[in-house]
Amino acid sequence: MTPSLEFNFTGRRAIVLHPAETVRDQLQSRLAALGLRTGAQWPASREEISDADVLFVDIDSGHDDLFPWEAGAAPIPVIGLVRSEAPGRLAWALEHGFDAYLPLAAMGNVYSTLVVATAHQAKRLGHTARDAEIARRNGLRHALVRAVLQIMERDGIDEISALKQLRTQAMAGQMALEDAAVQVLTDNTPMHARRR
Amino acid sequence: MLALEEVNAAGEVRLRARIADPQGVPSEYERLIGEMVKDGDINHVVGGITSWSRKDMIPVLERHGGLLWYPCPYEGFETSDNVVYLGACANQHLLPIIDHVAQQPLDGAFLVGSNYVWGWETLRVARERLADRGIPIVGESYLPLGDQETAHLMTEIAASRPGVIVNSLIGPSNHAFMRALTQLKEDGLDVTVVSANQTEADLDALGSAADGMLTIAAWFESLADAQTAQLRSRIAARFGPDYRASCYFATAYTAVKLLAHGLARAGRDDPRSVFQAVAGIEYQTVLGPISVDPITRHTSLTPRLAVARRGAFEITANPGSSVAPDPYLTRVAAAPRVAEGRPNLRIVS
Repeated sequence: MTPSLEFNFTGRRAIVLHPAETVRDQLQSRLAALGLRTGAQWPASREEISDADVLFVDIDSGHDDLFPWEAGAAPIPVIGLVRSEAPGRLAWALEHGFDAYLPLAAMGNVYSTLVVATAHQAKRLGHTARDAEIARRNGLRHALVRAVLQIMERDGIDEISALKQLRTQAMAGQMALEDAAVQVLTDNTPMHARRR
Repeated sequence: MLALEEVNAAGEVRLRARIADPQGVPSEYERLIGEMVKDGDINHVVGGITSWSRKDMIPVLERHGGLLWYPCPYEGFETSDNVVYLGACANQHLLPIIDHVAQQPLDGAFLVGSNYVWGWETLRVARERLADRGIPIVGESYLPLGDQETAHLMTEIAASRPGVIVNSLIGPSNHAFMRALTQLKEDGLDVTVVSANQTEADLDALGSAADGMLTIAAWFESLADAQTAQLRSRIAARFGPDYRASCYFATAYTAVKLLAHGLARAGRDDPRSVFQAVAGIEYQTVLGPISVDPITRHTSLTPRLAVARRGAFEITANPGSSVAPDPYLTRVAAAPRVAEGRPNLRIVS
């Protein structure tokens, strides 16, 4: 499902990590005009970053230890501030999978950058959740096989009919096929054998 | 030109105008403004009406360091460091007028606009605001710029019978639409038309077809204050008694006065210095008290509501104070996000 877009950032807390005071001041003023609460630091503390709803990071001087999360796993939108365009720094930023980029020469576009970054981060979190769900369901393959075998034996039908029955049950219960399989196995397990 | 003559007569600074007429052709704005600012002898440009023209001019101004004093209401959601936004943005035009009509119970709203950024964005804001007020949108339609074919709109409106029409059509489409709508009104349709882009020039073109239309602007010819009376007499002396000035005129006039003040105060003509010299200061102008925000570069203005009657705007609400600009609508409460309920169906794979 496409997450709904956000266009109003009033009340969010933005942290600007940039060594130049003029850049920090300029960006903070623009963010304040958009209704955000701001903070700006250099060097940055992890406590301050943990408190942020959105993070602006200077690509030229950013480094891995800056963030209290693994590369690509930021729980908030992160925006790279582009200044020198040095290939190595761009590679570092891309490795972190920043959600949007704002060239310092285009500070007037901070609003659209916020919209893009927030939408991108929502999509990123959606992908992470989906990947986790796929991994969880893959882990239940054995349950699926056992449930199909059990239905075949119980109802005297072939595997295609058993799978169809299981799918119908999943749809009726609005659950994943693997979860329906687990339910079949649980329901058919004698009470005394069930895990508590 | 009137403001320029007055500035030069006052003698503090001397302005020389170079006039270019793009005749509304989008590509011409870019070319003409490029010719003006490329050599650096012209730093300040007053003008542009449509958002397209402004968006075409901004990249050129950014390349050459010029400053545009933009005198028209527009949809907001922009902050260029090469523009001074003197016209109203949505919290100063569309939201107050929607809030005004939404005080009455309304069965439904029909939205119609020209198919470009002004139409899209103003109607988006209108749609969200009306939805917040619980007023259903019974139809939404866009006409290509200049299109005067409105029969299909009349069929839709006759069928959906809205209590209010939000009209963001411009130019000939606006005139054709309002004229066609008179027939529906004569046939018994009881509808209020609201619009944030009607001027005295539109009233001239529309005649009685505009009667009853509710509009909003930072200035109307019919304002009763002394500054307006003075401006009108100067206009009559300069352009003749029949000349009709609009909010665009009054804002462009104010822009030239503000530019002159900035030049005098800064003592130089580079855009950054001139802007810094005027930003944040409250000026008493023909528009009422105004001040330009140094960060958003937009202007505090007094939104006035008026109803068109017999070719003139009758002022119906004239607040005594100005409204600060909010070009990104950040001070407007966000609509509550619909809680994501459990879907009724799930695809199982």
